Amino acid sequence: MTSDYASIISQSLNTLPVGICIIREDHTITFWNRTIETWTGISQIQAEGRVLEDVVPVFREHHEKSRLKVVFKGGGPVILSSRFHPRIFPLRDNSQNEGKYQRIIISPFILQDEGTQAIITVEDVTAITEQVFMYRQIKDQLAFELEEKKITQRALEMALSKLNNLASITRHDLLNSLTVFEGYLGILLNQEPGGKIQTYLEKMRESTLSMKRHITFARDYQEMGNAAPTWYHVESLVKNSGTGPIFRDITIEANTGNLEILADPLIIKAMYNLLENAVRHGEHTTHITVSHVKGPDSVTIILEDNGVGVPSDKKGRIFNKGFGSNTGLGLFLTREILGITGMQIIETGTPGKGARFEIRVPAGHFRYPGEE
Amino acid sequence: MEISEEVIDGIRELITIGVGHSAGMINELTKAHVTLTVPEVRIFDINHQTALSALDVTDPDESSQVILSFSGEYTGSLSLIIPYKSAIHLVVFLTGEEGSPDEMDALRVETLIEVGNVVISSVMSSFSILLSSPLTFLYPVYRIGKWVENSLIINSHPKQGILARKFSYYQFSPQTGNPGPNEISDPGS
Repeated sequence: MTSDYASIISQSLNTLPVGICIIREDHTITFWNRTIETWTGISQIQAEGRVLEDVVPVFREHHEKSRLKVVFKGGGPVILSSRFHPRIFPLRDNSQNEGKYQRIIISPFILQDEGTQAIITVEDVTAITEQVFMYRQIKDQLAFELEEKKITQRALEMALSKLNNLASITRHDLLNSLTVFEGYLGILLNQEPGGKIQTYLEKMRESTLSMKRHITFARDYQEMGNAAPTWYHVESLVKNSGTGPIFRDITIEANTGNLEILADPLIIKAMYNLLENAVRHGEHTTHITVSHVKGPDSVTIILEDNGVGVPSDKKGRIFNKGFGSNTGLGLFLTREILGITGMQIIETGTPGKGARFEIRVPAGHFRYPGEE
Repeated sequence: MEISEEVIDGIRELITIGVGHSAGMINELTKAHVTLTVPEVRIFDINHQTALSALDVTDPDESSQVILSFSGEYTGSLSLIIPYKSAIHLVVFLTGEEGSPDEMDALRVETLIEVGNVVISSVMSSFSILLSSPLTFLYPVYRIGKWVENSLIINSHPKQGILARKFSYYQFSPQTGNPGPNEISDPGS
């Protein structure tokens, strides 16, 4: 190697952002670059010409010594990871961040007339090491929180199961008692006592029916959200819900194509409520239409009838629990069922011309199978 | 290529010596006691089918590989292949880390490269007595995936492979117990 060429190589090695030290087979340091000089505070003049172990005492240790020996015995490059050897080269200042964690690679090379030499490359892996430590800490914290959540979820599931059982048993026993009560009430009414007694007994029967409806509502409400939402083809939903004697003289038309929505299984009940509402409260309803309008990030299902519509003064209250001329639960329950999968319902009809319900289905909760 | 039983015995001997040295170094490095058995040595042509049959598998699992390529009097590469999950467990046990051993992060990769490097360098050092001139080496690299699909291996020339397979047991100090066997293969070409 000419001295000019050696000088170019030496200058190049000085510009690299890794520490570089070259040793001969007798471990004499022949080159010590500027980066390693900066990290260690040991100058090139102080290092070059000295034995590696005197400048970097860790190489006196048995393990590091053996690894170095392997390099000169033809074993190829040796890697000393930061995990097992956090800091082999001493630092200028122990509190400095540069070179806090080091990765060392010792690689053999042959220099003509000078025999085998080893180039020791020192990489500063402090940033990545600290990031991994931080990442592990975050991961452990998340794993801990996840485990806590699982425990809480199991406890909540158990509590829910107990409440469901309690509610179910109570409803069942209550219905049995009510049936017995209703039976005796029927016997009394069949005897036609007349007068005030007759009136009181009829009020008691109304009250019994109301209690039964409340129990039925409680059952439906309990079932809401218990089963996982599934996809429903809207046209089939309308077709299946609009059956029964009440719809005998009604034309129901659904034009939603292959639109499917993600909904709680009680959607069947919600759709029935809407259709039944159109007939029961429409007074002269003969036609119900279900259509849809695609928006940029949602789809709106529109359900219209040609009945009397909802009076303006009642529009704001029709979804409230207890409002209405029948059970007062139908539209309240409908809104709750739709709300499970993020659907919203409003009434936008014109009084006197018919009711019009708009159901907004959010993105991700509707699809058109077969269409891109 | 037919290779005599004497040569295979010699290769087995050199691998055993090399791995034996590496075991001592890993003992020092990790304070663990490593017990190694005599490896089973096979010579095979490196292609997908023969490699699979040499490894006694039909569909190999994902593995962690530390590969050292060399050229000179002999040209080829030496790979340390460890099933992926075993590699993670190995690093976690060797470093005595706490926490869930579920993935190979950057630090674990670096640690595994060093462990692989200890084994590979010792084996290469053991083989160097057969050489009349030193070899030139590339830096060891880490690969993950199916070993038989590794381009470094599949594209190697000549296409002759030596498989040294063994089951190693890593025994630790009494308080940490014995984590069980890890299959380690050293196919070189």
